[in-house]
Amino acid sequence: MVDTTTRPFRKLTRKYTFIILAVLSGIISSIWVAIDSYTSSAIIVDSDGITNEYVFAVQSMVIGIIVSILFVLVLWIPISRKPIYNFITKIKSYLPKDKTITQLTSDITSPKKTEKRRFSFLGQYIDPQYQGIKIPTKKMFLWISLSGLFSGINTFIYFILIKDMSLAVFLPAAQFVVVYLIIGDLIVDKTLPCAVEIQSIIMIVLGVILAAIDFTTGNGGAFDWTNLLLIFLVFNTSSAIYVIFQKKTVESKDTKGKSLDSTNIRLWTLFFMAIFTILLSLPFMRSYDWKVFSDTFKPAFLPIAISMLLVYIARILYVRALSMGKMSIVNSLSSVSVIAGIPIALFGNILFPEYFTLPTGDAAWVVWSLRGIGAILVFTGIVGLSMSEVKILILAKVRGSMEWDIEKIKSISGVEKVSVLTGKYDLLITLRTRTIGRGYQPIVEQLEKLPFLSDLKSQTILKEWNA
Amino acid sequence: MSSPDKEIMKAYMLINVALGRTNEVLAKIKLIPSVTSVAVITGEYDIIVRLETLTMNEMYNRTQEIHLIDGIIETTTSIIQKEF
Repeated sequence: MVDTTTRPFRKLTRKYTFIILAVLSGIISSIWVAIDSYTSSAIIVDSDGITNEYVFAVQSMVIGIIVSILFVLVLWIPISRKPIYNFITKIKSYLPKDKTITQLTSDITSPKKTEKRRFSFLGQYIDPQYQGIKIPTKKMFLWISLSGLFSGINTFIYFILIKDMSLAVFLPAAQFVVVYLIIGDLIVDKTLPCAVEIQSIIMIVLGVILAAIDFTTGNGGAFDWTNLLLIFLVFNTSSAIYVIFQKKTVESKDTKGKSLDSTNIRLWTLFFMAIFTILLSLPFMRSYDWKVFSDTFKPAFLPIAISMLLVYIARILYVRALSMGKMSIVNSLSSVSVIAGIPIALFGNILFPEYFTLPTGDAAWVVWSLRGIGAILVFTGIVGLSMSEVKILILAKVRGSMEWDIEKIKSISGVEKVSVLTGKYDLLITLRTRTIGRGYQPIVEQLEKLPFLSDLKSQTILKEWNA
Repeated sequence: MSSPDKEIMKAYMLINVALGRTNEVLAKIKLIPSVTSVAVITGEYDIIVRLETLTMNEMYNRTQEIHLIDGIIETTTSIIQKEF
């Protein structure tokens, strides 16, 4: 008889968990940008009331590191007896047999039979893989430090941009990273874009242009070309490279075959990001800037701490989503921040009208309409990409008397997983592509040419349900 | 001493279904514990099921449950030795 109480198809499937994680990460992102926008214009200003972006960058990194370490320690608080029991057992194994220690462990009975709690640490409610602070392996360190470098460049430019750029313009423009990721995929695959990709790229580009138009302000509708070049050439490029290295970090495994959890990835990335952001900011800091730094440190502490905490949570959710699906889809879903930016900017204007300026005058509704249309175009353009994915399963046999290399299969673009099987077939290769046609190159031109594989059978998934 | 973590047994089950009975078979497979994913596919087989159990005996029981579903013509079960 089937036990329906242990039915595996939960109400919240992996697919929906993935969507919720990515969307939540996007919404939190728009909130933290709004807080930063306020802090930048209201608090970190010199005696003339001008924002000091370099002071803001250094302060954010210093406060960010303090807050993040405290946050990770809070997440490490045990909520069941299992970690305490394991810790004492581990200590006991290192020490000679002693009565007090024996007494200590006998007081704590093994929690395996008595406890039914799902998680051992507080942080596992956010990140179920979290087991406390871990030291990454050498390879992970390489990817994390490279992520930190590009995240540092990205963050440095971010602080320059939010000084003058409106929230409703910055958020859509920051989504341009998806276009770079698609172009990157096309270059790696040596292929031409498909219809969906062309359509999405055009929608995102037009959406960003529409959202950036504002003829109600003093500049008469002219674009701020320096900021636009910074956002397109430096901010989004570094963002795209950062995403690639984060994905590499997520995929890296230690000697036991375990990957680093999202909380640790964020902590270590933040560590390197802070170093690089501070290094980039320091050459611009004069003695007067250090005075602004000390004067504003106290009032800026709380908003920066909240903002950095939100960044931390958003990044954990983002990295978790990244470990569950393709990076272009994660970015697609988290692009909901584009739309969330509009109500947040309005709300910010109600609370602090002097810091969250909105289009004014008779033509304000035109600018709002353009921003709304722009945001919707960017969002739908990005979501369109995520909806067009195809999953193909390839069953294959391995030829006898021949060495075979899993890494050669894994290195093929689109290959998500390789399962070694018993039975009729030896391998099941899972492949993800944008369209069925895109499966041609990895299957016909790459997999079929591997000398150790034979009898390849491709099957496209029409519909899938995950527990 | 704490016992080492038990390894989960994973398997794929490739299924051929009688014409017109796919939905009925799918609904029954989804109710079986240890089934972590099920997909309708094109090609040699009609459905692929992924099972994850703690013991080989449990795996045997789950595959037996699937065998008993009306509408299934043939199944091929492959244990996953390793995943990359």
